[in-house]
Amino acid sequence: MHTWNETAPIYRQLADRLTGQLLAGDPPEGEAMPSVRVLASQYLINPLTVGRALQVLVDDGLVESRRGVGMYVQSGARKRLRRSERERFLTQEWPLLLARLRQLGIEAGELNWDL
Amino acid sequence: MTTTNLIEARDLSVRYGKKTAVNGIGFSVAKGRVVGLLGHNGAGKTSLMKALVGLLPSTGELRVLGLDPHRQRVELLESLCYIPDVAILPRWARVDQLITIMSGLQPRFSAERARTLLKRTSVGPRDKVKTLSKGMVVQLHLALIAAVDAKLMILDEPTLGLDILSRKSFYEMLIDEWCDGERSVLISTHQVEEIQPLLSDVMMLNEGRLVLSTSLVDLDQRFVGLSHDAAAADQIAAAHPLLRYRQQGQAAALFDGAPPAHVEALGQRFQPSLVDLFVALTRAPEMNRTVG
Amino acid sequence: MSRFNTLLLREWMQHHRGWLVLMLAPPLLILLLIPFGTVEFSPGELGTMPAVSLMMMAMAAVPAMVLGITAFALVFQTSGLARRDQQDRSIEFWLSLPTSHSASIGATVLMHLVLVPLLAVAVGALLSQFIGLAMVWKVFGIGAGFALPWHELIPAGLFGLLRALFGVVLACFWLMPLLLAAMAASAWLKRWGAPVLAIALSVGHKLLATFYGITVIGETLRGLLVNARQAIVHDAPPRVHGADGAMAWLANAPSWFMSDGLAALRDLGQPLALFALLASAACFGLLVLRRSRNG
Repeated sequence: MHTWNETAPIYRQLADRLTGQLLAGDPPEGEAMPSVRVLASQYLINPLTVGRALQVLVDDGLVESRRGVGMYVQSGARKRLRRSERERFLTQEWPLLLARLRQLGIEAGELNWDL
Repeated sequence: MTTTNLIEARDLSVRYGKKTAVNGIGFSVAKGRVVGLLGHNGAGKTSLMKALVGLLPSTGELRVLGLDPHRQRVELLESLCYIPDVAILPRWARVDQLITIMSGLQPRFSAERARTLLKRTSVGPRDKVKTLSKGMVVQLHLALIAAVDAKLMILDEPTLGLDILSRKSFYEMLIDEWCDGERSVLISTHQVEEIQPLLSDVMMLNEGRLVLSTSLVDLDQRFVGLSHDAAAADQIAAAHPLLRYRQQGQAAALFDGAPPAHVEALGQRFQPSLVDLFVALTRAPEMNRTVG
Repeated sequence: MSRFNTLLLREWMQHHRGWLVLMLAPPLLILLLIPFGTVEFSPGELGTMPAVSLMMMAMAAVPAMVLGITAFALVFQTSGLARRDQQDRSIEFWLSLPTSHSASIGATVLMHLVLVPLLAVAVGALLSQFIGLAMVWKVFGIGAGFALPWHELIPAGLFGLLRALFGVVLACFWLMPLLLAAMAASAWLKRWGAPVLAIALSVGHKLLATFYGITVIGETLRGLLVNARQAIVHDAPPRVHGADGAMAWLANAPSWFMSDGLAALRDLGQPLALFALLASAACFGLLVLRRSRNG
C-alpha cells in the first residue's frame, strides 16, 4: 500500500508506473488499458486520481480514449515511448552517470556488460 | 445555497456540553468524492459528524442531502449511512438477525447484496457478533453499510484498532463498492498516510476551525516542499514557510504557494505529503517543530 | 415488514429465551412433579372438592402464577431497560438507523410491558389445561378427566382468558406512569434513577403529609395500584360449594366475566385515569428527550 513517495503527486507517480509497464509491452499496442475501476482497485487509489494519471498518458499520446469502449494503447506508442525514454537517458541521465564514472576514475573497459 | 452538493455548511458551529467543538466553519461536499477529515483528538471531528447526521444540534446553515439534519433526522438517515464507531454492533445478535433487522429498518438496504458482500469475508450468517474478532466485526458492519444504496457515507475512524490486513480489506471495499462517481464518503481517520491515495478531497480541523478544505488536485499545486542544506536555513526562514522540519536527516521547509524563485533555487523541490501538511497546519502556531 | 414491527421483532430476538424460560419453567416443573406429588393431592386433604373445582382452580391459578412471575421479573428489569443499549454501546448503532425516537422507545415499552404479559397469560392458560387435567387424573383417575363438564368449562375458560387479556391491557394502563417514571429516572440519572425516584416519592409524601396534611402522592400511588389490581379482577368471585355450586357458577361464568370486565372498563371514567395518561405521556416524553440528546 505505501508505495508512493514524495517525489511527485500520486497521479504522476502512477502515470510513470503505467508508462513503465507500457514500455515493457503491458498491455500491448492496440489492446485496451485496464479500466479506471480495475486500476483503482488494484492500486487502492481514488478513481479520480487514476483518471488523472490516464489523462497524462493520453496527453503524452500513448493512449487514446475511444468513446464508449475505453482506453486503448495507441499503435506506435511503444516505439515512441522507447524513443523518448532513450532521448531522456542520453541527454539527462547519461551525462550525470558519465560524470560519476569520471569522478571515480572508472574506464569503459572495467564495466561488466554481461550481467 | 446550491442544491447539487451533498453537504453544504456555512458558519456552522456545534456545541458539545459547554465546549464549542466546531466553531463557525463553512464547506461543501460534492457527489462522487472521498473526503478525508483529519484532525487531532478533540479537534471536533466527531462532533462535526454527529451534527451532520442530526445527533447534535448546530447553529449556522447546514444542509445534508438537501435536508436539515436535526429536524429531518429520520428522513436523512434513509439515504445516508453513518458508522459512529466500529465496536457498536449489538453483541447478542447473529449475522442473519442483523440482516433481517436492517432489511426492516433501512428501506434502501439490500439483504441480497449484504449476503454477497459477506461471502467475501470470513463471517458466516449464523455467527454471533460476540464471537467475532474485532476485524471481523468491522468487516461485518461495513458489509451491512455497503449494502445500503445510500448517497452519502459518513465514517468516524472506521479503521481504529484494526490490523493492516483488515484496513486493506476496508480500503478495497471502499474503492470497489463506493467509488461510483455518484456517492460520496466522508471519512475521519488518524491513518493520514495510508488514506491519502484514496482521497479526492481533504478537510483539516484544528480546535474547531477548518484550517484546510481543498481537493487533492489543488493541494498538489498549492503547497510546495523545499529540501535544502543547513547553510540556506536562514534565507529559507525569511520567506516565511508554514513549517520547517527535518526529513530523512535533511532540512526541509513547506510553503503555501510557490516561494520566490531565488528561494526555490536554494533547495530541491518536492511534493509535500498530507502528513507534513497536517503537522504544519495543526501545530501550535508559535512552535517550529522538527519532525522525524 | 414495517419498521415498528421490525423493532418489536428485535425485542423478541434479543430476549425471547429469557421470557420463555420464565414462562414455561415453573408450570412445566409443576407438570413434571404431579406424578410424584404426595400428600397435598389426596382427596382427603382437599376435603370434598370435586374434580370440576380442581380443574377450575388449575385454570385460574396457573395463568395467575405465570403472569405473576413474569410481571415480577419485568418490573424488576424496567429501569434497566432504559439503559440496556447504552451499556453495551449498541445505542450508537440504533441511533444510526432511520427510526424515530418515539418508535424505538414505544416498541420496547409495548413489547416488554404489554405484549409479554399478554403472552404470559396465554401461555399460562394453555398450560393450565394440561396441569388441570394431570391433577384431575392424579387425584380422581383418568375416567374423571373425561367426565369433566367440557361443555361449560370451555366457554368459561375462553371468556376467562379474554377477561384476563383485557385486564392485563388495562392494568398496563394504570401501572404505566410508575413504570415509565422508573425508566425515565433511570435514563436520566443512570443507576441512581430508580432509588432516587423511590426516595423522592416516599419522602415527598411523608413531608407533605406531616407538615401540610397533603396525602396526594400516597393516594395517587395507591389509586393506581388498586385500579391495576381491579383491572384484572374487579370483584371477588362468589364462593362456591360442592359440585352443584361449581356447575352453577360455570354456567354463569361468561356473563360474570363480561360484567367484571365492564366494571374494570368503567374505572377509566375517573380523574385518576386522566392523570395516568398525562403522567405516562410526560415520562415517555422525557425518555424521547433523553434519547435525542444521547449523541
